[in-house]
Amino acid sequence: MTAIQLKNVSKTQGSFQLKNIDLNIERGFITGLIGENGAGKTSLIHLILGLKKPDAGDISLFGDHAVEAHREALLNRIGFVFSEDRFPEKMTVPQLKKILKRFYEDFNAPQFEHYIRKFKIREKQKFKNYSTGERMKLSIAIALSHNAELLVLDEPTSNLDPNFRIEFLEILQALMEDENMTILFSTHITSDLDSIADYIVMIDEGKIVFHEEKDLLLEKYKKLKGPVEILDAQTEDLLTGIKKTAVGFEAISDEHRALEELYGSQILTEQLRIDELMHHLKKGKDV
Amino acid sequence: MFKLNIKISNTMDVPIYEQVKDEIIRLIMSGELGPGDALPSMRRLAKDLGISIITTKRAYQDLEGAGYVHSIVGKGTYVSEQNTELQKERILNEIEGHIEAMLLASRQINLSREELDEMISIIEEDMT
Amino acid sequence: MDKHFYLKLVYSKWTLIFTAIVIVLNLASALLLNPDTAGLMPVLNLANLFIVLYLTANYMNVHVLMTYNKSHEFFMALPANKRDIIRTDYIFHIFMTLLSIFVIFTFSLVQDGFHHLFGMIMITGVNLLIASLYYTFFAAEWFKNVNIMVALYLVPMGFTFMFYYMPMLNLLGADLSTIPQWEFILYTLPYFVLAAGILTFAVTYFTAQKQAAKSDVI
Repeated sequence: MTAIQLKNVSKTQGSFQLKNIDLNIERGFITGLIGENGAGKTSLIHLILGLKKPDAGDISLFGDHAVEAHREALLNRIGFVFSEDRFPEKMTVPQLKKILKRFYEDFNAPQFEHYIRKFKIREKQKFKNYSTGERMKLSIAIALSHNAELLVLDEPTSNLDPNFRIEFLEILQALMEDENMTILFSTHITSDLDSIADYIVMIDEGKIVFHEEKDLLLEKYKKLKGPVEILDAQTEDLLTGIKKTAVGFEAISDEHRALEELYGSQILTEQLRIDELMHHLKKGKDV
Repeated sequence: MFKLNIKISNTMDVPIYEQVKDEIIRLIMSGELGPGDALPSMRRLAKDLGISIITTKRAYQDLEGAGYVHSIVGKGTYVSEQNTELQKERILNEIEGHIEAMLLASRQINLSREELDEMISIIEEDMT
Repeated sequence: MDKHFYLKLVYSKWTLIFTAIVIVLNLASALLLNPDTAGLMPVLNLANLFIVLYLTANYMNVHVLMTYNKSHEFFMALPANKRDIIRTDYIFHIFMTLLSIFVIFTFSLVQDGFHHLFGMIMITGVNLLIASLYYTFFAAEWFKNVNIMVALYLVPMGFTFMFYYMPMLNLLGADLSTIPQWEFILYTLPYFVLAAGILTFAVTYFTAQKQAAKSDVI
């Protein structure tokens, strides 16, 4: 069962283009969307939320292809967070709450108030007096307060302080105890995804570079360290992103098993981080 | 509720699902988890360990494949009954094989039992 | 009540408050005192002119206010069908137009002037024509150029005031038989304009709904 499906979707906006995007976001899992700024993450999210229409291709949400006709019903099931706040500056929490109550069929006011208190959001202040972190918290509180079964989060952690970031990731994981819950999470702080993401989608220049189970990705690619002496033309063929220093070399390889067999304990194999992997794959493509 | 004494490390090179699997096997072997005991749901365990759902799913699938646990659709995953003895035997067999290989190798350089014992102690110490 | 209707009410709060004040002023002046002797007439004139302008342009004003801090992006991601959003816009505009008619009506009580009623018909007709044009563009590109549209609104509305309302007041009581085209402009043209306004407003309602569903909302 897919929560979000894009088939051959294209969209041109000015000089930027999303090209033939095929994407299946599995229901019941956390998918991380990574890519550099301007890679097309936000455009993709705007398409999913029905804010933009694709030039070509088909989008379906929860298996429903009539996204335009059922826009209201579908958006009721989605909680969203934008990378930048889009709140009316002069409003306050109580005013916004009244609006949200009317818009969301299933708006859970007590839960919303619970999050407002838990996140220490100032109720009486106008939004223009909020810090970026506080705006983001408000955004998150809204997304979590109408019983959504799909969360589409665009860079939700970028303006959060580290403490709250951890709290937020824990909340997301608690939500995932419900197997109908799906989270699509775009971020450039990829350490958010190292632990909790099930799938990783990497997008670059409007195209999907890969869409893979995170565990499989991290098993495939490893960081290798070893003495410079063992590097020769053949070994270097199996390695990318080689960095040589006085104390040895460091590189990334998807042939780490072969190299381990060849060199045994001379080589140290380490788990990669997602940002290292992203950097590596991006560079590999540019070469 | 479930109290599973599981420790995993993000820095170790052993994949997380392997670590989860090994830890649960350890708990079963040590008797902390008895036959018929329920394991936490995959989603629950993923949340508690702060790891992804697929990772726990894979560990559970492997455990089920090896016969340590079984799952009942709509209810959950339980430690299997009849298999604990079998599993222990299987591991004992595995150890026997390793010991045979070790003794054969030490014979080649005439390593004495005392020296061998000492080596085992040293390595054991290193591991803990 | 419809969600977007409520949102528009929130954004129209001050317009509605001032409208209520002007209506009360008009009625009080009509009932209680002779505004000419009280020196109130210039104030009333100005207040009525402004509030009518605001009411007939309120739909654009709401859109402009919504684009502050790009908050329309937030509101447009809340659950609603695009056709329903356009429908609410049309209904809300009719509501505000009726309110503007009512304001002019109460103003006509003060001065006892039938010419205001012709002015009312003319303004409503022009107002609906502009709204039809606006919504044709709005459905295609939603909030992208709402500021430009407001500037464009003032041109035909200004024209109506300067070349219809003013002459109407100045020619009051004059013998129009010598300039028959004024007779037509002042007392017949408003009906044509109103008919054209109602017609285009009704037609663009359907075209705008159709177009809106095909367009990017942000």
